[in-house]
Amino acid sequence: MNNEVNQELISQQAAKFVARLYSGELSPEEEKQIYAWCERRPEHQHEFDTMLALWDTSGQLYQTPKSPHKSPRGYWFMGMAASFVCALLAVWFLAVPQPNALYQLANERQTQYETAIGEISTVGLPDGSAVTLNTDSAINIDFSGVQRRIWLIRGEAFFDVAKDPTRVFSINTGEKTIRVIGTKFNVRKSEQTLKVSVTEGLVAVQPSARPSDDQIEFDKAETLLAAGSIGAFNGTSEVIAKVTSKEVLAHQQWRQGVFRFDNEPLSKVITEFNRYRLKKITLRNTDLGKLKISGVFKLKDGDSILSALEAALPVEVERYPNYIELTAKN
Amino acid sequence: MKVIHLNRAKKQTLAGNKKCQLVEQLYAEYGSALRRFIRVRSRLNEGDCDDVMQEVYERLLKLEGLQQKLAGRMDTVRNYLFQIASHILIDRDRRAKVRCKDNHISDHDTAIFSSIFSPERALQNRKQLRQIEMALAEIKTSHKQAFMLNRIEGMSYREISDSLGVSVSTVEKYISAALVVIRSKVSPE
Repeated sequence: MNNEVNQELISQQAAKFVARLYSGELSPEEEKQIYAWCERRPEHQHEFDTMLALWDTSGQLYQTPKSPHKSPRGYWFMGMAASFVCALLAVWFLAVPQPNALYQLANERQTQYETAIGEISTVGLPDGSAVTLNTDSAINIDFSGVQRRIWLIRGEAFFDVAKDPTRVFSINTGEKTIRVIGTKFNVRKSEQTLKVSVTEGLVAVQPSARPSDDQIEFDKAETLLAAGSIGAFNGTSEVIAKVTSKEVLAHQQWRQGVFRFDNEPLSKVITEFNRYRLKKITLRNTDLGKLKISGVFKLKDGDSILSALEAALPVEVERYPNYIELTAKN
Repeated sequence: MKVIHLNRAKKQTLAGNKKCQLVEQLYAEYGSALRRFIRVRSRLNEGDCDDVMQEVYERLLKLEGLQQKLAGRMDTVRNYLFQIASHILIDRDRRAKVRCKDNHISDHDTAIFSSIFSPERALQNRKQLRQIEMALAEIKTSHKQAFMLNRIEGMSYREISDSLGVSVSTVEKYISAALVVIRSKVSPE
C-alpha cells in the first residue's frame, strides 16, 4: 500500500519534470533539480526515463490518418513532419567501403541499415513491414516515392512485407529485382548467386534493367516464386526448386540464431559459421573439409561450437590470436 | 550500423547566406535553452550535445521557407527548434539500440546472436501505443486536449493556453496530469 502511494508520487514528479522540460523554459536551477532527483534513487531515474519514453511514443499517436482540414497549423506541422522524414532519410548514406554500382543509386532519400559480423537485427519499416538483417548485411530503403524501394547491398535479409496493393515493394539486389505486394520471404546475396526462399505469398523476380512499373503484372514476370519454393539465380542460370515448407524454413533458421546441419561437409559448415565470426575458423588440411557433420548449433553459444566440433569429429582446435585452426586429431 | 552525413559541405547560395544569418540569430537567442534541453533529455556529454546542436543547425539550413516558418512568436519558434532536436534524439536512441552499441561483439570475439530491435520490441511499441490510446479515454477532457494538442498537433504550451483559454502554467499541469494517467495504464516493460 505504502509502496503504491510512493510510486504514484514518483510518477507525478517525473511527469512534472518531463512536462517542464518540454515547455522549453527549463531554468539552470531546474536542470540541477532534475539531476539531483534522478540521482537520489534508482527508481527516480527509471521513472523519469519511462516517462520520456512514453512521451516519445505518444508522439506517434494517430500518425497514419492525415487530418482532413489543412489549417495553417496542420499544414505547418505536416510540413515539419515531412521535413523531418526527408532530413532523416537525407543524412544517412552508404558506409560500404567497396565500390559498387548500387552505390551510385544512393541518394538523399535513402536510409541505410547494416549489421556487423555476428549481429542479427530486425528493423521496423515505416509501412509496418519488418526486415531482419543477418550477419554482415546492409540494405538501403527509400519509401518516399510511389513504390516501397529497398536495395540489398550485401548479405541476407528476411522480409515480412505489410500488404499494400497500391504500393509495390521492390528489392533491388543488383542484377535482379524482386517485387511483391505483401508476403514473407528470405533473400541471400553472395558473390555469385542470389537465393530467394518464399515462406508466404507470391514473389516476382525480374532483371533490374527492366523498367519497373508501379503495378506488378504477375503473369508477365520473368520468374514467379510461390510459397514453398526457393529460387537460385546467378548471371546466366536460374534454378527453381519446389521444396517443402520445412526446407524453406530451414533457410530462415538464422533468424532464431540456430544452425541446423544434416550430414553436411565440414567445409560448408565452417563457411556458414565464419559469416558470423570475426575470428575465422580455417582448416589446416582441405581433406578435413570432407568430414560430414549433423547437428543443431546455437549462434549465441559462440565458441562452444568449437567444442562441439571437437567432440563430434576427429579434429583438434588450435587457437591463434587472429584465427582458429582445425587440425586432424592424431 | 554506420551513418555518414551527406551534404555537409553544401554550397551556400545567396539565399543560403541569409538563412545562415537567421539560424545564427536563432542560436544566439535559444542556443543555451536548446542545449539544456538536449542535455536533460538524453544525458549526453558536451561533445555529443555539440553534434546534436550541429545537426539541428544543418536541418534548419536545409528547410525551405525557413523565414516564413520562423516568423511566428517566440515560443512557437522555440517549440519548433525543440521538436527538431527531439526527432534527432529519438532517432539517435533508436540507432543506438539497433547497433547495440559497443557490445555486440564480446570479449571472446565470438559470434553473438543479438536481436536488440527485435520483432518483440516492435510489437511492444505497438502494444504501448494501443495502451496509450486506451488511457486517453480515462483522462479529463481538458487535460487530454492540452496533451494531444502538444503531442499530436505540435502546438507550443503558449499556443495551447491561447486556444484553451487557460494560463501557460495550467497547460503544463494539464499535460503532466495526462502523463500520470497514461503512466498508470501502461504496463511496465
